[in-house]
Amino acid sequence: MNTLVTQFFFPLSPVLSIVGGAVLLTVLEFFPEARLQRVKASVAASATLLSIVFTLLLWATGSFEISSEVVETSGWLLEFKRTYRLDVFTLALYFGVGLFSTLAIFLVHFHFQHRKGPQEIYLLLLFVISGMQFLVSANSLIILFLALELMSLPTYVLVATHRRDPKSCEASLKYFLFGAFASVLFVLGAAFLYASYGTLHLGLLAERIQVYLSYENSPFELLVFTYGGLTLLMIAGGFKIGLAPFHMWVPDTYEGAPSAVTGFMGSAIKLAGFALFVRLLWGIFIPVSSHWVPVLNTLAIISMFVGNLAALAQTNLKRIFAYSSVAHAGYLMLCVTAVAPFGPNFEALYYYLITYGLMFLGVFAVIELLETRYQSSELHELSGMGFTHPILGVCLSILVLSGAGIPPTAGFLAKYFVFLEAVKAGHTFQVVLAVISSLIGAFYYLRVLVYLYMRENKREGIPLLRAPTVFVCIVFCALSMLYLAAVPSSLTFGP
Amino acid sequence: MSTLLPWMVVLPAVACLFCLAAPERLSKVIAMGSSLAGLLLAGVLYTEFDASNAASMQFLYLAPWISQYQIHFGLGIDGLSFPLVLLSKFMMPIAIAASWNQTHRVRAFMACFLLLDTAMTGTFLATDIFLFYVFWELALIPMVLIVGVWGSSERVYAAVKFFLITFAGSLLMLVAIFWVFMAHQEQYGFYSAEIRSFYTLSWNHGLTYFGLTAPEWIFLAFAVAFCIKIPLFPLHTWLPDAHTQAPTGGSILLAAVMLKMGTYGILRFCVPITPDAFHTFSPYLAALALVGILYGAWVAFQQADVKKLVAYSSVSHVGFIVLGICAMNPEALTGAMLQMVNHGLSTGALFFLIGALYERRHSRQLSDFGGLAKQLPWFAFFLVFVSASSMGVPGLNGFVGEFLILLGSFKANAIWGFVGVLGVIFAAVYMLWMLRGVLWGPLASEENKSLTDLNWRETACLTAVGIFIVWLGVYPKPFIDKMRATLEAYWKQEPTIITLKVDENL
Repeated sequence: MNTLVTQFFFPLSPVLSIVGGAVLLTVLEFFPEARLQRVKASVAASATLLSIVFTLLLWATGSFEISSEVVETSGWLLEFKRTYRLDVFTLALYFGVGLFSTLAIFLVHFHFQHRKGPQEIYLLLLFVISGMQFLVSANSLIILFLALELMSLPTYVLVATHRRDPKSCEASLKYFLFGAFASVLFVLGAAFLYASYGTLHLGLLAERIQVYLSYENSPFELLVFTYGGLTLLMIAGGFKIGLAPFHMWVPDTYEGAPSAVTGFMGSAIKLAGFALFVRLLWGIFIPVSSHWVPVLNTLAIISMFVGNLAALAQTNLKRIFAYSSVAHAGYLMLCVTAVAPFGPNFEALYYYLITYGLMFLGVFAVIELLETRYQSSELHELSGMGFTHPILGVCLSILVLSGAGIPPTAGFLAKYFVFLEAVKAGHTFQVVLAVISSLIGAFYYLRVLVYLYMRENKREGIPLLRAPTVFVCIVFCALSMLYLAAVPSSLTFGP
Repeated sequence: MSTLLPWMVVLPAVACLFCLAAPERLSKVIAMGSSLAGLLLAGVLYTEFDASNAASMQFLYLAPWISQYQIHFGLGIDGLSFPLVLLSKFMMPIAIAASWNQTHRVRAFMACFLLLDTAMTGTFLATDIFLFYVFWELALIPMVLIVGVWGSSERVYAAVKFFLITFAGSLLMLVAIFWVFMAHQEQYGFYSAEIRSFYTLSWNHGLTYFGLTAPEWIFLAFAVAFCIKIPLFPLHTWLPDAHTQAPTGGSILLAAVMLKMGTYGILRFCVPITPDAFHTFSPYLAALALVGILYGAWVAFQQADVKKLVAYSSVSHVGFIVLGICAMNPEALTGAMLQMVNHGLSTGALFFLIGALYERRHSRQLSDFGGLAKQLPWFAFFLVFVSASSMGVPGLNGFVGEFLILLGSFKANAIWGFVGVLGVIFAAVYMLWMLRGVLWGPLASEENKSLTDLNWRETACLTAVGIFIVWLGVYPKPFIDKMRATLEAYWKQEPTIITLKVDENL
């Protein structure tokens, strides 16, 4: 019994608290009164907070490794260990997922306070969160796939919460079609690998790829299936993180979805998507890294330029930051490829993911406020807001500067760490291109500042709504940009 | 570990927060109070600074920042940064006084100035290459806001142009920083971000990338970033726009201090890190500086807008500084350092005066003026005085700096000296042209007859600047002594290497 608690329930507690919250919400869904919305939001937020607490507890006790002697006594725990991995990186990602989700729940709550919407929203959110948690700790292709679907299916619904809004439906349909396509590719890729190596377990796959491909005359079919599987899995992952050229759905989906949901997608789902990449690339495909590193590097560069150039032409804030997220996916990918040859050094990637996610959430919190008030997320709605809403203005400036990677914000350090890893890996030319694309990107971030402070306010007398929770979220995100820049070691984690 | 320097950096930033929270009238007082306190700290620094030991970093302060890469929050001061820190602390209260009548969003305005103060001081004091970069970029943001929010009609265009051009240069510099940072790691096996630790890097001169060696690329990347800030011809195009559109206080700080960040950077990074590349490229730099001197002077002469005239005169004057650095001998280098301070004082004062005039007349067109000497005698006195300093009349500071630079340039290359002298003559031409247009001639316009002379606040500021203009013109020795040791190390090409003792327990 005791082993069950320490070896099973405790390591799973971050996930279990989310699942528990979801179960509780399922029961609560039998009471569809609107006044219960607040209760449901609190349940969801408590679940994510509890998950964070358990994550930190696990971290503090360091007891997330399942000891081997216990495993040998019971078969099903062994099976559990084989499919469910809990390491420092997983815990760090749990923390990130919990943090972004908690902030997003506040935003979603604000969103539906002022609009009609389906009741099940928090339930769906918790499903997505549990899906992400399974995803970051999955150690088997089948679990990865199930987690991916658990994460994606409720997201399609979340995007389409405003059924009567054609844009919301368009967003959801596009996301669904691309997402379903990606899932199919993922399954096919996994099947290729299973067919050639006879296992779905990531560790075993890595070992067998290492061994089989080292033979002089590997059969042609094996090579086709290995590289085919790799390609298909990469494409599937590329869709999920919105890496160019698989980014077509990003602007429309991010624009059509409710801002709160977009904030959630851009931060948490991107985090999970990169976790997927890390698990696959660093988990399985390290032996063939010389094949995928140049390809993904190229895609990263394309992504940066496509994202930053396309964002220049946008006038809608949501589309600007949607394209900026494509560009950021490029920077993150540069980090993924850079670190791979030297083994798992997650810190640069993790720092970037967290700072970028907080930046994105903070910006979309502001957009949420704008949209709720003015029914528009055009850039000119920001005109003069830096002076009519001084604190909000300063916070948005900090967030935007962080997005552009200008010191003294965390965004600069994040880019700096990524570039440093890339230079260390010898990708100097890619770094030069990345720097050039940051310069292009600086222009549209600056445009936000120009509208904030250098344009006349047309909406004098129609201030934004007073929303303490959203306001706290924005201030939290902005301050964390400064705090993380001053104390970058707060996000480092060692063995 | 002395905490004087962190105070100088942090104090304005703290005051900036108070400024944002305070009522409008109080925010001005806070800004002025904190900048005067900064001036006081600068005074303490002046008395405590050990001139005999100026080649080494003094008042060191080190705090851990990114320990993984040995990046520290490190501040220190040597003979190179000493005059510039003093200059920036001295110009700060003057810029705030020049903005005293600002009525539009005063709190944010003052907060921007204080943030700029932190950033500028930090840039000059940073001993860590990343801290330098952070402050360098930080200085950009408040200045863009000052130009873009409180500027004249074309302000947004000017602000965006200023930002993009400068940011492009900064990113180039960032790439160079990465390069030297990694090179240090490769050569020594450990990370260090301390600026002086890069002075000892050795380079493989046989290895070329696209026809240039690594140090040459690094030199160029740094040099372009700094030359944009200086601004050296042909990278100067942002300057006339930014200067003309900026409010008076912004122009003062931009001209007096921010341009010096570029020349300081060349001396701090380009010359010592890649000395060979500097020798390869210094003739080209000097040529650009000479073109800038003549071009700036010529364009200044053509201007109908007084502020634009002074802005282009800046292009011309900073050319002298770069020329002095390129000559790289004792006279020229001392002259260049002095000229950085001189240009700060005299151009700052010129912008102050033009701002005062604009506040009264709401015009900067030369054609709107004439005969103001009768109407505004004190204004006329100071304008003549400051212009004289700017064109290098003996007995005032400009003369000492330009004379030393030209002397050194003649020694280095007679043509440089010769063309440089032409620049001095042209400077006299456009300055006198401006004086004639503004002060003398008939007092034709009716509107000009109701103008009032300088008030006590303006007179006090200009008198303070005037004292230094005369002091540096008559007896610059104490000032030169403070930086002599550092400059000697530079022209002997042996920058003193002091690897800061990093306490492992930090």
